[in-house]
Amino acid sequence: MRKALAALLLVSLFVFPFFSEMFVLLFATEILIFSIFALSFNLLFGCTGLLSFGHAAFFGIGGYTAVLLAYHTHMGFIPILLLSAVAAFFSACIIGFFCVRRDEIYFAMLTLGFGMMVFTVVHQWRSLTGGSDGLSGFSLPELSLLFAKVSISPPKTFYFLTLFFFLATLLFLKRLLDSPFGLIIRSIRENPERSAFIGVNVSFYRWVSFVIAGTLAGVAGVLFVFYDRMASPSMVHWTMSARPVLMSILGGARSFLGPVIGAVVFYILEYIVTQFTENWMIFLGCILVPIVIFFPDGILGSLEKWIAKRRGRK
Amino acid sequence: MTPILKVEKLTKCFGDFCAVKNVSLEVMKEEIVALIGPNGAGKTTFYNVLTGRYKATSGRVIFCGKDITNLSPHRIVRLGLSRSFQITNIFLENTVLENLLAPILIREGLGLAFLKKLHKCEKQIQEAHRILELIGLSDKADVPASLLAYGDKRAVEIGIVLAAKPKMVLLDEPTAGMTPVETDKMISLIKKLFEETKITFLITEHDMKVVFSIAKRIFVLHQGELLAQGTPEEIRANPKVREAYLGGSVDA
Ligand SMILES: Nc1ncnc2c1ncn2[C@@H]1O[C@H](COP(=O)(O)OP(=O)(O)O)[C@@H](O)[C@H]1O
Ligand SMILES: [Mg+2]
Repeated sequence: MRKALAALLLVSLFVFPFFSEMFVLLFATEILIFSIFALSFNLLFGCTGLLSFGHAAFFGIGGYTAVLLAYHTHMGFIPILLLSAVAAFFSACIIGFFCVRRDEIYFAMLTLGFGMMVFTVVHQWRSLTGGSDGLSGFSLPELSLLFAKVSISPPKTFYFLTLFFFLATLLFLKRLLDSPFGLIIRSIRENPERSAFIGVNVSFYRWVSFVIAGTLAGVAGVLFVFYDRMASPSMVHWTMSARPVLMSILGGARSFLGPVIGAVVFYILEYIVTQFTENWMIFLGCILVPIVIFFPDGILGSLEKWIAKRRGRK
Repeated sequence: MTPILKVEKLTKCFGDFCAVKNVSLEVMKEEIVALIGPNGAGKTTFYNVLTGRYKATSGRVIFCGKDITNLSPHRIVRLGLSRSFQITNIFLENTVLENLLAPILIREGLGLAFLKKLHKCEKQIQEAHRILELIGLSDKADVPASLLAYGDKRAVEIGIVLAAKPKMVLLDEPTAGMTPVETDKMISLIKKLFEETKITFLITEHDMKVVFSIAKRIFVLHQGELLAQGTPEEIRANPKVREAYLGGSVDA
């Protein structure tokens, strides 16, 4: 049943671009990008038990690095992606090193603080980042596949490129969480103190998780700038850090696909609501509050529990 | 015989109040000893300093000939000194098996084995099952720890300690909050573990009955100070101990 559903979803992800309107295709691409971003965030939040309010820093660092490389060099898509991921990796190493010294609300405050620092740098350093205007008007890098060079400009191509990275992220995270490392970070989430007393260097493992999450967010950032054809400071604004938080809670932080469901619901709601009103955030708040109060496991988490319960009764 | 644990003039103060005062003691290899004292005597605080949870105000802790004073908890565990908690402190949402598997994986340096699948860590899973058998929870391997009865949770607490394959174990009131039946079960478990593993045990208790049935040697802590030490008979006969315990319960 589960497998059949997954297969059906997967097939439709591959097939629908050939039948859909341009608008839907772009919409789906953006959702996939934000799914990667939210999944990376949830490695920290749902899996390791650390709530970051500064995750957009790595989304932005990945994105800006990619745009700068596209501007100033003639590199292809893959080298740009790799270098941008490396930039996100190193900044996550440094920022994470300080943030994992504390946990709970103090960790959240540290990440918020670092996020604001990154925003300020991006916003003020006009000569490099274009300041509040951001960076646009660069030519998209080409994708080298074996011996062919492919333009990533057609929406369909870009959609499949994004889909590839989305599926790779899912496989990677699944593998990670099924490994001994996955058990250790789950144990840390459960009970950080006891983890130390079984021999776990808790801040080290939190740091590793932070760095993986930051690097993945950087990859999502690269996809986003080439999708959006620009890098703007809104990418590193704290409201951008709030997005994966909302998505994960909406979908269910304890469910593997929770952040993805959250991203889908977030975008569909936003689309519907903004047709009626400018103040979509108020509406989002009205949905989020009852979800947190009545369904703390999120949409997918509650659904999974409900199914498990019904199975148990039969 | 060489001491495995040597505590030298250990003091722990919280502001003006000192919960552990100038305590010196030695525990020999493969010994099973108890640290007793009424509630508030400073037993848990003593453990907290030994295991790196609190920083010592002064004094030294030597374990296996190495100064471990104020090392961080995970390093002390890696050196072979593992502890249990008076208030059950386990991984509630993980299964019983996972509770024991995590310390084993860490000990074997597999914590960062990203590409290995958990269920393929057969050697480690087997070892976890052996410990499950030892603590009598083989049939509960895949049950989330939160669903266990209180006595079984206490057994998992002990299992986690053993999974770290320690040279020495500190148990903090292993029978705390247990019914008489559960207490008897726990006592026979500890005796069995000691006989089968030959790990060095230091056990705190406030229940005299438990202590006299397990320990070969006893330390008495009273208001943070080491009041006496000796065999159960010596402790029973010690007038200072009798006074500290207000007579009665030492005979129990
Ligand atoms: N973190 C702490 N801060 C202040 N006082 C403490 C702290 N931990 C323990 N104490 C005090 O130290 C004394 C000894 O406590 P404890 O070590 O728990 O005793 P025991 O385990 O023998 O019952 C108690 O008076 C307790 O209130
Ligand atoms: Mg105590």
